[in-house]
Amino acid sequence: MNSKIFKPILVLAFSILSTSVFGQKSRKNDEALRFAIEERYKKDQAYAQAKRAAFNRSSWIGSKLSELISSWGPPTRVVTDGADGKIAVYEKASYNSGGTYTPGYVVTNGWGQVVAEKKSEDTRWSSSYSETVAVYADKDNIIREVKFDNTYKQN
Amino acid sequence: MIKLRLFTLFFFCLSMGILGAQEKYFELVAEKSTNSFNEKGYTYFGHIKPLNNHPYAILHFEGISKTELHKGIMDYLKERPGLVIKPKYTNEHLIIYRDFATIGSKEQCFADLVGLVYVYAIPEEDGTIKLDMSTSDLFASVNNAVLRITPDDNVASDADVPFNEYKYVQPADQTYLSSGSTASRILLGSRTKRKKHSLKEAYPDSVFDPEGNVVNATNKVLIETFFNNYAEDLHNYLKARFK
Repeated sequence: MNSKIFKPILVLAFSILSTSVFGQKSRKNDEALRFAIEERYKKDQAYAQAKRAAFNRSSWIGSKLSELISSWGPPTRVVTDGADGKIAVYEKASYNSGGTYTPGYVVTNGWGQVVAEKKSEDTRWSSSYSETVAVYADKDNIIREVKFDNTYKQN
Repeated sequence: MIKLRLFTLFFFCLSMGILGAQEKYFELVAEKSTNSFNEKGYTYFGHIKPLNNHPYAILHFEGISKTELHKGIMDYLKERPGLVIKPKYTNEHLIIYRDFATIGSKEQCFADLVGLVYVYAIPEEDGTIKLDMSTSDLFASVNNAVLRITPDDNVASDADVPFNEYKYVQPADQTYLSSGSTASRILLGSRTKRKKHSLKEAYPDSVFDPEGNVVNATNKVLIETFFNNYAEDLHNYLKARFK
């Protein structure tokens, strides 16, 4: 009598347990896949955005130098390329700094013994960034090449 | 439905037959990396290389001089306006040209694959042309990116839709820091925890798994065929010219 009741309960309990374990595993797999897809999306997005600046710069190749100047504004300087062409140079520099300097102190008593001391704290920093875009145009003022160079220094 | 399957099978066999008939110059391989990138999960790297560990794929045209071969390649390029010659690096000993072309769609390859192929062709006095394409780049997008290229080979996507350099090898598991649960903070006193995540599931378009095993044979064949076509096309053109 007891086993007749016990068996279906056992089967029911087992099926609930197995469904729950399977469901949990499947949910974990779904989460892992979602995470992986999101990571790829983030990386691909960052890459696409990083490529934009260089693409836009070199899209000017084949255009007239005057068109670029009317879009970008006057260059920092224009130099000759040593032949018939010229190079319009655009330079940009920025300087950043931050942090503070807190002087230290030493307190002595009447006998010259140090009773309190604190070392100075210096968290000052500075950095500089410079960027040069050199636009090479031929004798007909057609842009043939755009070169980019940048440097970053942290002190 | 059965008819459709039979047709698909027939079409597959036919295409494999066509592919099989093609001369093979290059193969796609995964090799173990020896640099420090290993720690970032790129133990293996994939690349296209000439068959049998040769430094170049070689086209043979017996009895044809270097000058004739050079002229032949230049004429070939005139007839293939899609191939862009790089005049800055091209001279009597070396001709460099590039192409920017689709390899396969998302439906075929799990991602839209595009190749920026650089062909280095070196004509020799012994009637051979050495070919190298190892500096080529492939791009992949799973977000339907439309890629564009500038005259000096900068690539970007319309509206910056995500895309990336194609990964021949799926990335290995990577460890990420995440904020720990309240329980772990109390018990372990740790505010962050490290969790390993597998990323390879997001790269079904890759040919190799992180251990360098082939997991996408279809894409391997497609990419190899894509590169072989450049060698084959030049070979066929010059063969017809010098026969």
